[in-house]
Amino acid sequence: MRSVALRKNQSGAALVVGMILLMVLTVLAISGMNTATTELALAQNAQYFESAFQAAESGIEEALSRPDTEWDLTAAGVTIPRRAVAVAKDGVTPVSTVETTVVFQTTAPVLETDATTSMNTFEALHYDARADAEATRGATSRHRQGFYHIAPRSPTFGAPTAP
Amino acid sequence: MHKSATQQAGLSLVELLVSLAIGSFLIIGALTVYTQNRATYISNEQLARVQENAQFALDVIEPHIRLSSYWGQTSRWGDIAGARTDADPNPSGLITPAGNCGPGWAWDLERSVEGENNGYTLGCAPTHPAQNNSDVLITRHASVDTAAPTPGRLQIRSSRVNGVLFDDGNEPVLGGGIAEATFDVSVNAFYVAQRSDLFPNYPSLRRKVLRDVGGAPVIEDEEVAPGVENMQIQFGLDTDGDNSVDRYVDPDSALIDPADPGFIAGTRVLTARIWLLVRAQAQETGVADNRNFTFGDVDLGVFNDRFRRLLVSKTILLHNARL
Repeated sequence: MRSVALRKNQSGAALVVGMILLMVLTVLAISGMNTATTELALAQNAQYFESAFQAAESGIEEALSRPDTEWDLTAAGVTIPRRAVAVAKDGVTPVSTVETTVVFQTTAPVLETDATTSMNTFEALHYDARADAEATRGATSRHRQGFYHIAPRSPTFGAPTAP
Repeated sequence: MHKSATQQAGLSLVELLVSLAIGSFLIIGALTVYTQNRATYISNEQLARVQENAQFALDVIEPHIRLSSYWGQTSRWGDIAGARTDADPNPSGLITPAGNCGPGWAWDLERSVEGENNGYTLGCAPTHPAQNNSDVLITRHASVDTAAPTPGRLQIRSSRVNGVLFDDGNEPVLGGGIAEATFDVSVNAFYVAQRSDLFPNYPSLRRKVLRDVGGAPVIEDEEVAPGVENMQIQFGLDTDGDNSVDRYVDPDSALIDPADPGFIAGTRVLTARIWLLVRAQAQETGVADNRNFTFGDVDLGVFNDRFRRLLVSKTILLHNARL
């Protein structure tokens, strides 16, 4: 009879102690989980930004490697943007999108030091390659690179052009 | 439940001992779980801080390297009037910034990206003593966005073909019928100091940066990221003009110094490789750093201490730099 009475007396204490221990562990686990979640978000953001950045870089490279015929644009600088989507290994999930335009800027004298003799025969056509990339969770990267190519001088050489 | 007081005798000695033994086992177990959890939490925290500092430091340095030698709308330093030359450090009489690091240092556009190898020898003293065996990285470029003319700010007025440096807030006119715009000149010298502003024994990444304060140019010294213990730089050079890197050299190499007889004409810096060794702020129980750190051109040996360390490295493509 005595043992029965004891067990009844002690049951409450075990529950309370157990609950306290469990609570301490839960608090630790939750705070650890929160830290891990934040770290994961940080790493993901860095990764998404890197995706956008590399997409924009490749957009610039693509623009620079276009055939000359696509550079000889109207003086108004109106071009149709090109859109490219990079997908993940599964071939479906989009990772990043990039929109690239090449915009004509101006004509200018040829500056190469070894081109002095052909100053009057050639001119430099200046362009801007612009790439706007976007990746998951609003990561964006905008790259712009100026370049020129040398062409035979046109009759309108030297006329000011709006940028 | 109707027992009298006499029936409720105390515990026997054996019962007490057994319950104590079981109880202490339970408590020891719980404490072990708690301490282990806490240790994991602390090491996770430390690792996270170290990673964050490394990421942040790289994120600050990277755009400056990438943009170096961008002068508004042109990348030819030789077409910018007022830039330092070896013959004349200040051709257009620009105001020397307070705390300048050498004659014409701020407008040495020819050296748009340069460094010092395993030491600090700039002409301006660091706020805290510089770290031994760590490189200095200097970058110069124009701002990405156009800027309003500001007296006392070193700025550049540039078009697709040429440009002028000025610092009096009066935009010069380039003429020539080509669109022109004004940009701020950004000059940064990154170095590692032996301490941070807050902690005496915690190294930090710092920079000398060109600003304008009260209408006058100033080179300020500020902390960028604490925890950076060592920085190494190497430049990837194209020596034969084929647009691919032929070799990586340290910042003190003759190959990237136009004034050195060993310089090969036409050499371009195509890439920069940067290493950052980042350290936790406090020693940590259970960590034994017995790795041998060899990166760039330094061999830091084995630290044999209980600091958590992380070595990060990145290779950055320079679109504009030329020498």
